[in-house]
Amino acid sequence: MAVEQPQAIPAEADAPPPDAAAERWRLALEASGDGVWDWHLASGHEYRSPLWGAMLGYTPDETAGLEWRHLLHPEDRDEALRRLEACLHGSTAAYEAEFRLLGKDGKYRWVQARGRVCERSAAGDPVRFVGTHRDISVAHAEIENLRKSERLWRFALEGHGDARWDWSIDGGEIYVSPSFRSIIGLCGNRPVRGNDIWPERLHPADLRRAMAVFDAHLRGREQIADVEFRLRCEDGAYRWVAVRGKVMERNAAGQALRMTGTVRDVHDRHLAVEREKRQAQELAHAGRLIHVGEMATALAHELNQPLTAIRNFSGVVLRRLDAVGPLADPLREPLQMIAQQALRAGEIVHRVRGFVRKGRPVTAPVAIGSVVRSVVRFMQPDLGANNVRVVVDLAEGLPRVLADRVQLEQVLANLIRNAIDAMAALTGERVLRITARPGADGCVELAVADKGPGLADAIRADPFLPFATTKADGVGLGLAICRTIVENHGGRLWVEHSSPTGTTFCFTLPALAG
Amino acid sequence: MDDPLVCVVDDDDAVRLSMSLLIETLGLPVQSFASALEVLSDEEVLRRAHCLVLDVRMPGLSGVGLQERLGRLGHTLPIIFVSAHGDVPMVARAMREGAFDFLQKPFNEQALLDRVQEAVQFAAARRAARARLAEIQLRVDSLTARESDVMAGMVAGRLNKQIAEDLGISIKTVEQHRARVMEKLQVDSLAELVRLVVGMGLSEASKNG
Repeated sequence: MAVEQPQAIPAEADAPPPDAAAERWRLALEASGDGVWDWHLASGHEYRSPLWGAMLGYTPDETAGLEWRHLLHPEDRDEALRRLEACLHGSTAAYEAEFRLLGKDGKYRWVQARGRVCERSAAGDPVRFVGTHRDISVAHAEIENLRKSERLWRFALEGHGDARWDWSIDGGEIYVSPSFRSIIGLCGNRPVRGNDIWPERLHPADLRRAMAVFDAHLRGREQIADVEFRLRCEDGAYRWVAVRGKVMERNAAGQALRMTGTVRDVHDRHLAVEREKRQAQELAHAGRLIHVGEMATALAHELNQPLTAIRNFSGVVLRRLDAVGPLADPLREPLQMIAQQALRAGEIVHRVRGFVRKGRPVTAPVAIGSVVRSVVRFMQPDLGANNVRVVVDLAEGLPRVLADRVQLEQVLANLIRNAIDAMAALTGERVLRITARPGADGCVELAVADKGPGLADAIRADPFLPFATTKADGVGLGLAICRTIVENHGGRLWVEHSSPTGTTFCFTLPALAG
Repeated sequence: MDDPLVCVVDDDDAVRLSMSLLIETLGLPVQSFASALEVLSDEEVLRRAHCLVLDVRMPGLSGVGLQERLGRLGHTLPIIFVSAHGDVPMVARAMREGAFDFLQKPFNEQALLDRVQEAVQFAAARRAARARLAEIQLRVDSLTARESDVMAGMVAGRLNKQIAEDLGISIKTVEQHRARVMEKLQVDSLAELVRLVVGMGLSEASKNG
């Protein structure tokens, strides 16, 4: 290979004349910006091209006298020389090294050297060693900045304690930090593949949403992937995690190659938020129920008028028919049914109001007997299904009470319900006795007695305590509410008797004088 | 005496009409009004009514308000309230002010009829008693001063001789006055006279009470 004519080095014997082909190589090298060196080991002379020196700021004259080893940065010297020797001795085929060289201005520049031994002696000793220098300061600076920022970034993350992940998307490997592993209960250091985590461990209900978020970021539509979802842990349970991630590398086509980010265990916070949301929903629902209740109450009031009119009118027709005599017989029964249905509608309205009404009772003079009979009739399906025989024993001439009829009915229905439940396991005859007598101090005293096994130990001390219940699905508010109702009416509710052969609940209501 | 009249007051047209028709099946005449104020301004109805069937909640003057007004005006006819509403204070107040009954809508119409019947009978009986009292009062007022004095003595159980002495008149005169008293008061025996006068005296007390 011909080499350009050196300028200020000792003339060599018989330097070959330049020709067209050689000129081409020379021009190409000049254009590439690389510097050239050509070292004849026997004589020790080294040729260096002008660019070799120019990239360091030296003139060609200065370049010739430079001792390359002295220009090496102390930190890079050992490695550079080692590689040089390796190539000279034939251990490596090519010489490649990166090192810093001192420029004329006193600043170091990163240089990449490449070269080969192009001539050896018969013994294998190197005779001629040729190569190039390339100024890689700029590229190097960029790489160095990148490394620096990554170091900072990692440092910050490590310090934060967040669990990290680093995902080579095309390769499939994912690095998960020890903190991440402990979140999902993964032991040891076994390498993890991306698929092991994503989408394998994602909760099915969160899959679509999480993938959509990641997709949006991977495609460049969103700056960052930020999403919460459930991950399946080693023990099979799911935990809520908050994941943030960003694509660090893309290929030429813009596809994501590497993504990295953090994971945080937000399970407890999530549960708390979910609980709050549920409570808010229930409150809203209750609020709506209250509105429904108020609507139902208003509706009930409105319905009472036409129902009253229907009953009255059918009553009128039935009574007028009496004057017609037997001819009117075919008309009587259907008319009575009209009246019955109006009554039934009225009772339904009554009950609806009872269910939704809160606050002050709606009182009127009430005949106890009528209330008892009405409730027994209403509970007949239950009583029949449970084979319970009801005995109603009402004293003659009971005074009326001033009461909220619907609430009284609720109390009785509740006590009857409890009695039915008490006798559910009874093999003998199931008898429910309801009695009403005039009590002391001008009141009416009612008793509801069953033949069950008596109050359970758990509630015997105070069965009226709120939330005291022996029923698996019971709330335990029935008796507490009953007592409140009775006391609001000025009466008392108590357990008169409780033994293995039966329980009797008693309550009093002040009688209406006159 | 006036024919018993039942007065129905309810602002709901269907309810008012149906109640009127229903009560008429008892053979009682019914006069109905859509508002409490209309009733108040009808003197004749108020005079003739033996029973008032009244809704509680009406626009304008309420049922209980009407009850109060009537009380102040001295009307004592029995009032039966019918209502879809009725909280404790209202019902207690209505009953305290002397309501005959309070029915919640929709009520058993037989119950209403029974109560109306009872109320009318009660009112009729009371009117009859009052009328009788008034009649007796007329008779008593028709006595002269002297006859009155003699009657007082008779009721006190004094003998004719004693009455004559008390009043400074002759026994014969006493006998004459006695006969006139018995005639004017339309009684046949002393016992009857005493019953009449004593009964009137007690009635007077309760009327003012």
